[in-house]
Amino acid sequence: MFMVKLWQYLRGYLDISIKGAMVEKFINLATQQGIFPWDLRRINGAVKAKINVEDFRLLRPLARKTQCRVKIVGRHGLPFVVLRLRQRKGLVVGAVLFCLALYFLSSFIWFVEITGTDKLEPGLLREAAASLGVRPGVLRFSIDIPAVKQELLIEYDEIAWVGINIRGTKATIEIIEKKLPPPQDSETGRPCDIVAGQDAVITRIAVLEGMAVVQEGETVQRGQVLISGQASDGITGVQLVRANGIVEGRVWREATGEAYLVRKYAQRTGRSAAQVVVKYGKDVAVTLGRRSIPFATFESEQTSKKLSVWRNSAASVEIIYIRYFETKIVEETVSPEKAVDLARQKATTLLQDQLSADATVIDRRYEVLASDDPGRIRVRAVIETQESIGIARELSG
Amino acid sequence: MAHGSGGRKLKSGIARAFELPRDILLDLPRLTLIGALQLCVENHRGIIEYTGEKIRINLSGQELTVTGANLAIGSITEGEIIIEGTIESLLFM
Repeated sequence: MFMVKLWQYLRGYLDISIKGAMVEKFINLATQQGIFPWDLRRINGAVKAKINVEDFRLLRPLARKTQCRVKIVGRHGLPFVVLRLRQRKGLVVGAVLFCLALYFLSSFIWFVEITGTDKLEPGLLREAAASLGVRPGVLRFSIDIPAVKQELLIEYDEIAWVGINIRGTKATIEIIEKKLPPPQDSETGRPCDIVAGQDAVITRIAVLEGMAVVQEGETVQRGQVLISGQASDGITGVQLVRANGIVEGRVWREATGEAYLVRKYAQRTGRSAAQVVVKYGKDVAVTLGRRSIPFATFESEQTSKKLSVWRNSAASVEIIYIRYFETKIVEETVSPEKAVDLARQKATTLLQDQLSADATVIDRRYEVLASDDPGRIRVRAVIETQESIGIARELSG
Repeated sequence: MAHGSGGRKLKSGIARAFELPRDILLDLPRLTLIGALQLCVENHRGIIEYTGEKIRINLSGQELTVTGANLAIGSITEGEIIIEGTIESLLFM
């Protein structure tokens, strides 16, 4: 049906009105001649019908023969549209020019965005990019992306990777800067001591530079000098050097974990309320939905959407959805064994956080402490590790 | 019409014997009615009268009167006529 309609539209058709005493005969004659009208409708004395444009001429003699009067009421279809447009050339020219201008202007870069800069100045990069041909007003096809990337990498040592993305009329230069490791102390060359970072029992000491002042098996306290930077070779007197060496020791750490026989925690009841805050700029905030929170105890979740208006952050609109979930306190009784377990876990995680990566655990001990509160279980954990304890401390003066 | 009544009888017999569609063999009209909304008449001989309430169609040797409301002719060609609207009755005469 659609194809038929489309075909009729492309060929063009007329609305005609037939008047006369022998309209039926007129229609019969027309069909016999191969003229097929459609959508015939009787309206008062006349019959309205639709007919192909080319067939209209053929109707004249038939109308005369049957004494009918045929009038064109409306014209439809592509041929008539074309005809009308021909009379309005300006409109057509304008439309074509508009399309051309749109296409033409969209083949230029109008915006350059630089992202990912941390230490580098975006303005500087913008200038560099502009000199390499990435600037507003250049043809997007004229940008040699690999070459620009290469040049930027060569020009700036701080850049690890450059990505250039051209989307529509916007070029985005994505920069990833090199993360340089912080300069090592040994490179500064200033004299220093090696001191103990922890209370420990020394298990190994190997001096590379400086003079050892402690021995293996000795107990040292945090901050005590292990390898001195004041070295003396007996001839030139005391010299200040940068002490260096490996000092390992046994370190004991302890922590206490607690657990209760009755555990209280908040649980969501399933009831929730929503609130929407619309923020405009920095100062204007409008709250939609509920103003006050209808729950005594609750948790909230917040998501926000930012609509930036024409890349101007000052005029940005932010929509914040806040959902409040009602909570209630649930009490759960825990068996003493489980409570001890929980307390022990807590103590262990507390200790584990303190351990450095190179530490090897030699021994772990746990001890349930006596507690004044029968509902509370306390466990002390002691971890013995073997680790490097020396840290450099600069000599003042 | 061109055949005598004897030939017609013979053809009818043949059609019945071989279970052939009689509209083709006997030059009869074929009517397709879709509810009371649309009537398609194939093998017609032209319209005799057309108003919004009544359409009379010439069939070979017979006349079909369709009455109803808002009757319109959806399309008309040499072999087929499609009537649309609210059809109330069909009458063969």
